[in-house]
Amino acid sequence: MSDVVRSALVASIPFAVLPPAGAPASAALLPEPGASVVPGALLVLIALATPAALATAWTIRPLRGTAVTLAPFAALPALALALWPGPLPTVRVPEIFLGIELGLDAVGKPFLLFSAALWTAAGVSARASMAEDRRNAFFGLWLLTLTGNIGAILARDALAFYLFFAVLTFAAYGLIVHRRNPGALSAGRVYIIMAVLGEAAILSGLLLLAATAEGLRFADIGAAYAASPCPTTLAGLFLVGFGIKVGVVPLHLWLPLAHPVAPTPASALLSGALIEAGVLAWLRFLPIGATALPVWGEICLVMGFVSAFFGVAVGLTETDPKTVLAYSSISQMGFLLAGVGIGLYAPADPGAVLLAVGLYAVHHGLAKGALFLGVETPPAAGRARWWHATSTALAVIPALALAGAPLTSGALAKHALSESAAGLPPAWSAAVAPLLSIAAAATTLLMARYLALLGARPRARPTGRRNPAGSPTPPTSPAPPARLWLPWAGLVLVSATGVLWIPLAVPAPAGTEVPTAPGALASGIGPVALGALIALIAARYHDRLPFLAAARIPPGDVLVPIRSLARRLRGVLTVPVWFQPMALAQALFGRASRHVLELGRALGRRDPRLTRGVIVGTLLFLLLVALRLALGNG
Amino acid sequence: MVALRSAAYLPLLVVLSSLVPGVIIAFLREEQVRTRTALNIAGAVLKILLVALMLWGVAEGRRYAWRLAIMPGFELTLVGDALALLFVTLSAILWLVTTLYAIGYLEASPNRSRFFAFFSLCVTATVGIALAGDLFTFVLFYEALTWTTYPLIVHRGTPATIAAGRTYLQYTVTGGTLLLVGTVWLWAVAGTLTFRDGGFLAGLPAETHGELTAIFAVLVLGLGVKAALVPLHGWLPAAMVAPAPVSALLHAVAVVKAGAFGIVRVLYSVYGIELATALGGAQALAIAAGITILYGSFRALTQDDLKRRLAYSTVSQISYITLGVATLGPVASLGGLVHLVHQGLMKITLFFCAGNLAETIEVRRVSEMDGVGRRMPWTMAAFAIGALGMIGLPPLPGFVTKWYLGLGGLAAGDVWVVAVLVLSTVLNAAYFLPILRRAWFADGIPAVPHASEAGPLLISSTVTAAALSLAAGLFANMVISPLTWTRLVIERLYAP
Repeated sequence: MSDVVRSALVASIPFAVLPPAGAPASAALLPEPGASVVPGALLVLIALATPAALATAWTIRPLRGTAVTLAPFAALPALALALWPGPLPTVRVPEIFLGIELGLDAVGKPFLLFSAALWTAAGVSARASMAEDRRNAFFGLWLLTLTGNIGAILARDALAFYLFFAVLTFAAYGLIVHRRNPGALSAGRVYIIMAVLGEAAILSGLLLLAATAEGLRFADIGAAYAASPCPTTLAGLFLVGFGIKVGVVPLHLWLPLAHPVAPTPASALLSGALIEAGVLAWLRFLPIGATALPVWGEICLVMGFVSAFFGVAVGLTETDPKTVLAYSSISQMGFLLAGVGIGLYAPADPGAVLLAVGLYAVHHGLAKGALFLGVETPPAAGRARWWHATSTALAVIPALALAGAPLTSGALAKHALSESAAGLPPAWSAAVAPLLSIAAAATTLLMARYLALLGARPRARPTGRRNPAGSPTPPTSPAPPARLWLPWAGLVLVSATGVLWIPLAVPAPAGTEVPTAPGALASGIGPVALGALIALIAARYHDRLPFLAAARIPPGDVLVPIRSLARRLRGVLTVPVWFQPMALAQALFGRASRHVLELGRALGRRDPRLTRGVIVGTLLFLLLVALRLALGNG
Repeated sequence: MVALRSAAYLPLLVVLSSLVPGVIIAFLREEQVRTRTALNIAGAVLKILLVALMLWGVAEGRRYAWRLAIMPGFELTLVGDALALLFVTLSAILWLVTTLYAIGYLEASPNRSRFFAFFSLCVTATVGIALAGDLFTFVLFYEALTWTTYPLIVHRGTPATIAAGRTYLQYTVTGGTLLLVGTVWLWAVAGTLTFRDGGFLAGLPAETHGELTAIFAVLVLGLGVKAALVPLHGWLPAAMVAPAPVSALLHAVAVVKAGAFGIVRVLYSVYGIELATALGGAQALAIAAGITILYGSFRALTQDDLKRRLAYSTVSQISYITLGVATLGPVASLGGLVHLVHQGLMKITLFFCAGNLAETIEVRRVSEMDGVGRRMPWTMAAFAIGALGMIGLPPLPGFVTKWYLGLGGLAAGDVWVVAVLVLSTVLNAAYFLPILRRAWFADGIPAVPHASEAGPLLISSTVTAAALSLAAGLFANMVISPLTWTRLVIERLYAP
């Protein structure tokens, strides 16, 4: 075949899944600029291969124990990569899947940093707290989820991202239903249904995107939107598809059910790392800085603030600290959605938006992870005094950070977010800062609720380990063992010192810089003070406001009426058959296939008349054909 | 020169490599287990070697053709080209895997000589269909496939299998007759039946087009029976009472594949996709395939019998192939043709697993599958790969198929193709994920022993099939993957 034909054909099959003519057929490592980047390339591969290899080892029974022992540390190479100072290359692995590209860039770096830290802390904590008989199953899925998470962050093209994101999505189901009780299975069901619908939206979006794109590297996404006849539909599909993972209103239904039922370290990951993988997906798949989509920008801003306040409002009525934290995540993801909305609205200054969202993701991931890990070992009366003081501080510090108190990572992130709104139309840019302040006060209130619930819990469950015969914790122990609370303390420390290291570790996109001015770091003082004041008043007078105490919204909020509506609809729909497309289709096609079947049966019964008819008919037909042949072509 | 002449016999040798063992096995006594097993495995391995030789030659640009004049104007023609080899390779590899599985599955059951004889003949017919160089040869082997499969379906001789066998014959004989009628009619119109890339009818004058459209309909109706196009699919769910290796043969290696491959041949080598599109037949076929995809998935949702659910899944999945090849353009064809292999690998895995469950722990219904993952971890891990692949999750082969089908649909301007694919994805998830949830995350009957995995032959062939499925997707871009070979096929089809 001629080269011209081949290259035309190659061009017609999208994305040169065929290597271009002359390219080596199997080049595992193609570091792009120069040879000095090879250590970085190796680090990229090792960061991904470590959890993948451990997950593979887990499937082999003799190696399973080793894999489970090493699982908590599987994210350490990724952490090293996130802190790697050298230049980072892109690694092409053309043999895997349809050819994937891996690497780390300025957008991915903050995500890798906090995700790897969180996975490590949660892993050590899970290792210590998990009952031994369930540990093996847990860590198998853990490793798979981790592979998906790291892969998604390192992916440099849309297909690779989709691949790892799918691994993440489906493996995380196992973490959610780990306890296998009815609550966990029901939450898992809601999660998986929504996840599949999300996958469907993402798949549609990917196909529509690829149909007009030159390539699917993230660098080409902006151009693909420009070339697409339907950029608004595309953005909508990705916003909804990945939004289900992020858990913003109204796509949040699974989140408040799933986060509390999972084992606590898994909850920390779900709320810290996994939902933020959805945020990363938005940054990757939406044309931030390339194509202005003001309609979606506005919708995102509105829904972002709706989420922010909705999460707080419902969260305040909850009684389980983990559910409160889950609603806090819905609320916090609202801020990130608003940030994405700013990016879709005003593409003039994409750097500021990317920086703000990145900073916020780092801040929220670490603080939320620390808050979740705190649920397992809350401050308890009757223990040693030093432990009481320490554990209270450990619980309060990340709560303050989440609220955006001065000198916390939250203040830094919120300041960056509010700065990035400068490019919006005047009405919005004037509204964003006050809205953020009110939301910060609301978050403070929600965190006060969390701390109150934590303090009100009668006694720390020592380990989560099954306590035979329900024997209470021996009162002699002055504090929980260090292996239980050290990962928590470490995470709190990392989160609390964020103001110091985040400006150094998070790369600022060109034309922007991480805010470090003292003014910027003190901006949250008013709202947090206000929120704290309201919380104190509510705590003092809540006896006189019985309606406050009585307000309870079941986790999953609107899912409850949706479920009962669905149940009622099912009852209605069974009455007339023609309202049911399924029954109708069955009736229609079933009848058609029955006709053919009856004909065949009649033949099979050797009905003499029918058989004779068929034979005579066939012979006549053949005769006609022969006649036609003799006359026509002769 | 000698080498060249002997190479021309390669297609014949590939056919003989299962025909000869099959005929010998038919005359073996029941207790000659060793001879029979040796013949089976030797035949299967020899076939793979011969196919590998042909693959290498075809990749180098050779084309193998062998002809035998039967009567004036009609020749038995076997041609080894890229498209034929796609199907031959699939059949050859899966035949070996299925033979090993069948040896383990039928251990100590009666009438094994009869079974393995027809088993080999069935694969002979399949390979003949794949290598057929003209429509006449194709029809001969196609009919042979019908008659060699019947004894396998009714192998157990129970009333249920006899009934299923009757249904099978009613459908397939009717289909075969239609195919024969269409072929004769076509010969009358065109005067030739030799397959050509781009279609041997492409040059016919416009006034024959009316007739050609009618013939197209007759041919597709005839082939649609084996390809399980709705409403011609009824035999396939009925035939699920057959033993597991036969189901694998029906669903993955031979029968439905023969129907789908026939449609591919009619579109590419008889009419040519341009003519088929001009006649309107391709679009009609694509729409029928789209309906079948959704209908099969809808029906699968409510089946509690595991094999019946898998059967409806086949009805749905096999039409991916038809949908791809009936949509204009190389990308959709790539998606459709590669699914010929992908569906085979994944579905054979799933049927092996169903067989393992039924044979080892007597589990035949989805509702009985609570906790089976703990009892049969290898089987259910293989099942998970097959099921997730059918849903089309990356990096499994189902996604690769869907990706090119969707892109091809969009390139041809058929946005509805994407809608069908996405809806089918959701439906596949709706009937496969509950099985996985039951198997892995529900607590089973506590009375049963902890682990009760199937026998070594069953489990090794199941795991091999699953590993092949995984590799076909995970390494889709490698030099020896189904996708790469299909790309070669498409290059040659679209650049004659």
